[in-house]
Amino acid sequence: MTIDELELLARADPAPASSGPWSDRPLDGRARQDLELLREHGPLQALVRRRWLLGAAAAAAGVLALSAVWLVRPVDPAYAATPPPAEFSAIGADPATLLGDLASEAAEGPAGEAEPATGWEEWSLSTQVAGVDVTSAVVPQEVARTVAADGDATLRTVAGTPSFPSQEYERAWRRDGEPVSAGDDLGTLTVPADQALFPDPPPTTAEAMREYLARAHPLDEGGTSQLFVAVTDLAREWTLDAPQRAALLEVLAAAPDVEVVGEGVDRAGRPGVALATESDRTGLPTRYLLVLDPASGAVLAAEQQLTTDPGALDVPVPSTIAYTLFGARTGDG
Amino acid sequence: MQPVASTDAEFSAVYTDTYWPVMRYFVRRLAGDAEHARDLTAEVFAVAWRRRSALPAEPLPWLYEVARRVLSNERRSERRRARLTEAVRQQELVQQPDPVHAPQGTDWVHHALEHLSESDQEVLRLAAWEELTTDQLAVALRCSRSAAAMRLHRARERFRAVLDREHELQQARRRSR
Repeated sequence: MTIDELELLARADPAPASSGPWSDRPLDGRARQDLELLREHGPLQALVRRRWLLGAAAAAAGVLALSAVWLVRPVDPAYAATPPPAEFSAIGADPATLLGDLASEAAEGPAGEAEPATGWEEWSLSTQVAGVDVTSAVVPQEVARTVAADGDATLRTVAGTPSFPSQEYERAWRRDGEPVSAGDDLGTLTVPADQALFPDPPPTTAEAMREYLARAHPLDEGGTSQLFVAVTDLAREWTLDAPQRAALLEVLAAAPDVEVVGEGVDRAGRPGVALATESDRTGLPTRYLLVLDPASGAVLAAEQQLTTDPGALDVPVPSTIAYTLFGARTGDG
Repeated sequence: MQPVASTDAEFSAVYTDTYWPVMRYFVRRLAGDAEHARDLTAEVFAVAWRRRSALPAEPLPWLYEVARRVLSNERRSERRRARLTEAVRQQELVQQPDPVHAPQGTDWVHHALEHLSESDQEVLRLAAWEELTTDQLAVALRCSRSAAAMRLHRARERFRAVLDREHELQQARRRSR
């Protein structure tokens, strides 16, 4: 052979830079749109938003064959299954006072050490289970997180117990062959240490905490809804000690546009006090909820609800479209 | 490798400079499925966005390292889908996308490549198609420079042996036509 094996392989490049729809050139519409979504909405929201755009396109074209959107699997019930709304009774408290009081109490708590988060339960309308859009049941995912000595985190996900808004949904689920059962292995994902959102342990002053959160999420552009998202993402990586919790509560206390929804219980049956903020940054008016432990101020749960406009999503309003429960059923055995 | 602070504008510049090379990385490994490559490219930049305050001065080899992980996660979930999805759907899912838009007459080279381990294939693809140097390979493969050099050296040796064999087979087929 007169040319070497690497040159031979180079000549067999299936996607050369000089031609084809991947050739070097200025960004096209799709590439620019993805960049805008990322800059406007941050990484997690961008992926969700992209799915919404896909969903809207599919609905507009009347196409039901696209994968990766939840419009693809019509079932008998008119709407996709969503969990019942979490209920809280109004307590007439002012958010700054409530959060300020929780922060003061937490500040008196003992300093321990931030522990890596060990797991949570989550559900989202946009999450596919085993590659299909489950519309006839609410199938939560239980995530167990372990962190190795080198900082790499392993997320092992198993299916939780499916639940149904009504018997009609349960019948549709059975007819579809019950695609997932509680305990089914849904896969393992490794997040290398250098891709963690919050590689360093959280700080213990409000000022440092805000800066720490802003490194991972565009708080200045995104407003309070981004702060709620950042708080949720933080809880996926760290379990805070009392002084860190105090700092976080102070950041929340200083945030504008926060409403105290009231007291009640979260989806794991734990007493909680719920805060809310609204935003339409992702394209549809969305209500972001945080549920805090009324004694310690720890974040128990986060939820997102569509309140007025379901867009292309086949859900009624209001509907819960995502929730995460921390420290309730997973990670502790 | 010195990390450089990245503002919004700097991130956009990195994105603009590296979008097509990152997309090609996926096209080459997904049998030419450009739409799927777009989605995975978006995932790579979502990771890069999170790390935008500490992007390396030369981001492309690092982005290939992220891409390698995204692809590996994607392949895992594809296997999961194939395992759990209903039989009819499963058939649709495992259908291969359009054949790769490879230059004419290079099928046998790809065929030869497939005889190697995934690890050998990846180091050869990174060297030949992404045109990485040994230093860049070390970043993309998350190993030392000497380990990268050794991996490439051994993969080339094994590839050469397979190519020779494939080449002879091809000649024999031509003669018999």
